[in-house]
Amino acid sequence: MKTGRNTASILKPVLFLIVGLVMVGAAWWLTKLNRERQKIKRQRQEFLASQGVELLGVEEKRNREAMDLAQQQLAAHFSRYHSGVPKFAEDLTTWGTRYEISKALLKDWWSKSNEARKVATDHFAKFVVSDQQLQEDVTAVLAQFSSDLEANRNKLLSELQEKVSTSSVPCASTELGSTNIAGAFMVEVQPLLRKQAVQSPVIEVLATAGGLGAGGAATKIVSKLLTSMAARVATGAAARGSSVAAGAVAGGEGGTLVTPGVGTAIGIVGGIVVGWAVDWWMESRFKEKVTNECNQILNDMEKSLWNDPNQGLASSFGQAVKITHKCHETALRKIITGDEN
Amino acid sequence: MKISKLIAAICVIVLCILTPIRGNAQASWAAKTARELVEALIQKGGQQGAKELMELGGETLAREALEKAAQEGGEKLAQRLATLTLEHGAALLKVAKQSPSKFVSAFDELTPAMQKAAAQAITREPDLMARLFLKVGKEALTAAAKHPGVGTQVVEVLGREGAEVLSKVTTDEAIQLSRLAPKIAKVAEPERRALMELIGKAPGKIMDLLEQHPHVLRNGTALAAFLASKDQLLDLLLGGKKVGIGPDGKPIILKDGGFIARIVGLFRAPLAGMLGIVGIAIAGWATIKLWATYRVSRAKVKAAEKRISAAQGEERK
Repeated sequence: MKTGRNTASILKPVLFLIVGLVMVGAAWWLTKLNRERQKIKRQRQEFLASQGVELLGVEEKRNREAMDLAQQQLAAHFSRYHSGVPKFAEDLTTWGTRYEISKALLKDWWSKSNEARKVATDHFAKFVVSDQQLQEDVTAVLAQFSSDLEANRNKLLSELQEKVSTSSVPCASTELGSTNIAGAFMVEVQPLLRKQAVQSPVIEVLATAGGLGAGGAATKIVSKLLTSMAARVATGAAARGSSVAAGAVAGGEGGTLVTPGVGTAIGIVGGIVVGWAVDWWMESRFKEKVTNECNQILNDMEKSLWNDPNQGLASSFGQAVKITHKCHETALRKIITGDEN
Repeated sequence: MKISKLIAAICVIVLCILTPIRGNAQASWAAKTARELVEALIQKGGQQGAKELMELGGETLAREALEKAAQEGGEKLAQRLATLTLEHGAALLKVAKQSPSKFVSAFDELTPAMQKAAAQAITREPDLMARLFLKVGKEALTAAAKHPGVGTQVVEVLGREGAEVLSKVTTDEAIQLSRLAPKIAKVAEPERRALMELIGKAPGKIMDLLEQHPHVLRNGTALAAFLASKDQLLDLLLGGKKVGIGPDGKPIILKDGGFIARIVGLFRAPLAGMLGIVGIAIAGWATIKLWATYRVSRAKVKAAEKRISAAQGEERK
């Protein structure tokens, strides 16, 4: 009887001791899983620091090459415009054109119209470049660059998927390995790009599907770019002594030559040409002077389109490459390590 | 009878005489158009355009492509090719050169947006696109236009089958396919065709399975079993079931861990802390209790021993 009481008094604490130890064991097991997770997290961070950074570097290099290609394309378009300049100068010296411009000048003097500029603009558009053609060509450069960036991003994702798969580091976004990394990446990167669209209009084109369509982001960018270019061209021509261009610059945005819209770009050239017609028509070296001045204007246009520090394609594309790199880095970090920053 | 034979013979002779004339006329027309095209391209692109043209094979390339076009479809085709080239860039000639009629008809079948995208892909990778168009045809243009950067990679490795699947998938899935493509290419026919057909039916889900269970593509027996059970697999996947692939290649339905497992997973860290604290408390209490029991029983034993030794001493006295 006594022995039974003793056994009962020991059995209870022994059972409790076993239960307690089991609970401690379970707690250890649960924290062991957490430790494994920590280890995987470290591996992911190492993967991002080595492979991820390398892939982003390769993508940036490809994007810079796309920028070079875009510059070459723009240069090709302007070479084409230059090739029309001699024919334009030749056309200005014909009696037919002289008569047409003189008649228009008389009409302008009589009825305060802008007929002469229109005539000169039409001739410039016929032989050198029209507003529509210029806009189409610049949009095509932008479209090719945008397409190249997209292609480079897709290549990056394909290579990333390959590297993740071979390194056996499960991504935080999928937890299952390398499946659908591209989908996870796009989910992360699209809001980032949309946020940055305010800073870079080119990014807006990349972030908004159909941005290259009529009325889309690309058209707005090109219109803005060409308007800014026209003002610079007028300033350049005025500095070289064109009285009409000087008038345009002095008249500012509200003047007769600089009007809002893409029409300004070639329209201003028409105005300048009318000025030359008046100033130089009687000179023996008229053709040579017009050719030189037209080539100079085209050089100014190209320089302004590519190099304008605020709106030029070089700075816009460079900014787009930088922003793309930054957004892709953030998105990669998120999908690989699960960390926001 | 004799008269009809005579007429037939005269017709044959006339045709024989006229064909080379017509051929020569076509060739000289093509040569003239080629020259004009090259001039137009140089004028359009100025020095840069000429440079671009030279890099792509120069006047010879334009002449070859247009002569071939004239041979295949006459003036009309050559003119159309010239128009497309002027509109979309000289790189198009590189792709069109092998078979202008095939290229022009394929290009014309695309929507304007796809034409632009295809021309951009050709400008980006002219040599690769020329090779792929020759190998696959129109689908290569569609794939490259629809999935910039990766469409060409897939078509290069998987050919027409890859291009067919690419027409049904999103770009995310095309990226996934570009990674799997080298492994799929190693699968022998007819399994490869069956596998590509299966991917085409549920691209994302099937490719996820192939990524998660790489042994299917490595092991021929597993692949055969995987393909044999494709109908069941599609039913399960499209029915929203969670599916895995066994070592034998057959699909298995995966079960969720259940409510408790999900709760444990969700509260793993606090649960571990709570279990540890409560466990240590219980084990500590039980140890103290056992120690006390041991001490009491030990004291009892000592008291009993004392009593026994005292009793034995009295007996001895």
